[in-house]
Order: sequence, then structure tokens, then C-alpha cells
Amino acid sequence: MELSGVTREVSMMLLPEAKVGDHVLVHAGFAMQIVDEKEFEEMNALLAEMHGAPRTVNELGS
Amino acid sequence: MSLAAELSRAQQRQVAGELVAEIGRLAEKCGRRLRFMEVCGTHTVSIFRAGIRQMLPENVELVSGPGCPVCVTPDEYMDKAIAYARREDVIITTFGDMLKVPGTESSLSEAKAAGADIRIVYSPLDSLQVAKENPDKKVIFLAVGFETTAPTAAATVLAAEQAGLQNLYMLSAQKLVPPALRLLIDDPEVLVDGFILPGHVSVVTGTEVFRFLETEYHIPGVVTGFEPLQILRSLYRLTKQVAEGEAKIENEYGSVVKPQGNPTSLAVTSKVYEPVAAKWRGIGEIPASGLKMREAYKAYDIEEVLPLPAGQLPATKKTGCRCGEVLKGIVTPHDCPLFGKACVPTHAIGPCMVSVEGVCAAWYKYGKGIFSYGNQ
Ligand code: SF4
Ligand code: SF4
Repeated sequence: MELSGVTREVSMMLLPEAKVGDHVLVHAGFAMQIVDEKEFEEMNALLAEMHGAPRTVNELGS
Repeated sequence: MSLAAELSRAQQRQVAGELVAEIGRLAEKCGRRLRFMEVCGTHTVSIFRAGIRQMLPENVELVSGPGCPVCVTPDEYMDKAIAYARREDVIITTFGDMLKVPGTESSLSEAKAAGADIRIVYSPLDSLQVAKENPDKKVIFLAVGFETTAPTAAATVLAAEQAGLQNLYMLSAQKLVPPALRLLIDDPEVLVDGFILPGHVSVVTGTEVFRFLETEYHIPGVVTGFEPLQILRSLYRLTKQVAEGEAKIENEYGSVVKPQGNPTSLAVTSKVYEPVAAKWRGIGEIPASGLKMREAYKAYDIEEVLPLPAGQLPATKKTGCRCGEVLKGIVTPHDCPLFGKACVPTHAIGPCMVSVEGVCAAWYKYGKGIFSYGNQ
């Protein structure tokens, strides 16, 4: 697995569902979560909201 | 992909400016000073680096809570680790930031200088290799951390079991965040209008574990990431909630934080560990806020296998360190008479000055930080 350009061994024990090619968050040598690349959309949604659009950023459970 | 990579610096500054203006406008509506607390050491560092405290309007204050696992680890734990390290038949494996943490009388780095075999590892799993290569030694991993680290230690135990390793052990001081938040809120000296909830902890636990803030205490909490803009976004969210009289748990870190967290990690942790009352430095014992190894895994718990004889540990003593109050956000490091004088990062009196994620260390290093993107 490549980590910011450096290749390291990362255990998939805690994230068996990850597939080759997924971006993952790593903590202490373990893959912890698949990264969902929607940050950018969230930011855009937030800016739109600040400018008066309806609330779009994920709200849990509601 | 990080936000910083996608937006130009000018764009970031503009977004930050808009967020700050909006935070100020919303806070104005509340008619009083708002106080938000971050409870993750990485947030603390990021807030200082970016100078977020300085850019916030007068009526919004940020305080740091007990967010660094090293800082909340009590002296007694360090004393035990040092006592084990001094044994001929022991190799200690640990994350590097534990080395300089003062115990009552000395530290692991002093023990190391005196010949103890202490090895810094990047992952608890690295301890397996050390154990394999040293079959005649007991290899002890210092399992210190929050919900994010617990599954990595637990997985290491399971891997050791699978490999049939008989000489790998844990000295555990794992902590859980939600019980600590409860204790803080219940403390009349601690006044908080909302929490910036820890990103990495939430990756594992999910967001539901923080729901009690909303249902039992009517205090808002927002999970967020570690970039300055993400932190500002969470502050905007919190201020908006307070201004509108709401108290909800929101997730601003949806790219990696799912409502259910990481179920495999949670299952692995609870296979090996069970909740137990635990001592937090400066705060005291908090019910069900720590983890101990279950009966089935006692063979991996060094305190069960090789208990330290009573009397081998030094009696606790007072140092004048105010870490306890600092960790609760009641005083700032500047209120500690030792800050920057007797206590500096190179000669730390308390753990808050040792850990890179410690509140005092952050104040010392970034106290005058100014807001600037990209200069990290
Ligand atoms: S949650 Fe992770 S990043 Fe934040 S203080 Fe704990 S260990 Fe550090
Ligand atoms: S400045 Fe040093 S002695 Fe004072 S509270 Fe912080 S760590 Fe403790």
C-alpha cells in the first residue's frame, strides 16, 4: 500500500471490505475506513447554504 | 483528496473569512460569549497551527479538553511501564510519544538510557515481529489510546493468538471518550456550549455514541476533520445550532465517518476488551471509561501474568502541575505558574507539555500562531 508516496505494509484486518484501489484512512498500521471523496461537494453545499440555499450537509438520523 | 489540495490558498482564505464572519454574526445573536471545546489532541494542534483562536470573534472562545491519550494517562501507569521496562526479561514496544512522559520519579526514556530494551513501533502489530525474534523475552506493548487505538491493540492480540505466540502482552490503559464528556458536562466548573467531536475516534465508533449529548444534555456536537477549514465549518455549525436553540449531533466528516462507524473494529475491540472504570490524569476515576482484557484473553494481560509486587511502585507526589484543570478547560496553561518556566517541552513537568498533542505544548509552540494556510 502506498502512503503519501511511501510504501508501507498496512493491515486490512479491521477493514476487510476494502478493495484494491480504494483510498483508505490508516491509523497505527491498520486501514480504518474507506475514504469517500465527497468532501468537496460538502464544502460547496455549505457555501451554498450560507448564501441562502436550503440545508444540505448531512444531518444524522433526523 | 484534501480540501487544501483542491482549493487555492486565496480561495481557502476567502472561505475561511466568510465562515468567521458568519460565526461572528450568529454568535452576536446569542447575546453572550460562546465557549466550545475540542476533545481531540489532533484538533488542538491543528487549531493552534492555523491560529484559529486568534481569528475567531471576541464572543467565541475555544478551549481544549482531555483529547490527548498521552496526557490523560496517569502517573501510576507510567510507573508500571517503567517497572516492567527495568526487568531483564522484558522488551517494551510503544508509540514514541510515551517515552518522555514523566512518571512519579522517572520516565521511560531515562529507563532506556539506563539500558532497558524499549522499542518504538509505528503499529502495535510490529510487536509480533519483536516477539517472534525474541522468544526468551516477554514483549509488552503499551496499549494507550482512545477508541481508535483499542481495535489495533485488540487485533494485535488476536494475531498473536493465531500465530501461537506465547510471549506478547499488553499493558493496557485504553480510554473511552463518551464517559469523559459526561463527566465534563456534569462538572459545574466546566462550561461548554458545544463540542467539536473527535474525527478519528468517530471513524471507529460512529456518531451514535455521541447522541446522548443531544438527548440527555441538550448540548450540540459536531464531528469534523483536521484541516483548518473543516474545523471552522464545525464551529460555524455549532454556533448556528446555539443561535437557533438547537442541540444536535452533526457529521461534518462524512468522507470517513459513518453513522455506524467501523463495525469490524468495534467487534474486534469488544471480543478482547470490556469496559472498566479507569483513572484519568487530573480528572480521577470515571466509571466505564476504560477497557480491560476479558477473561478469555487474560493470558495476554501482563498485569495478570506478571503482577508487579506491591511496594515496587513509587508513592505519588505533588508537582504543582495543573494538567488536570487544563484538561478540563477550566484554566489555560498560562495560569500554571510552571508554564514556560520550570516546564517547557524539553524539560516537561507534566504530560500536557510532553505530548505533541498536549495542550500546554501547543500553547508553548503555537501560542502566538497567526492564521496562515500552507505554512504548516
Ligand atoms: S482521536 Fe486520534 S488523532 Fe485525535 S487525539 Fe485521539 S489518537 Fe490523536
Ligand atoms: S505547564 Fe507543565 S506543569 Fe503546568 S499544567 Fe502544563 S504540563 Fe503541567
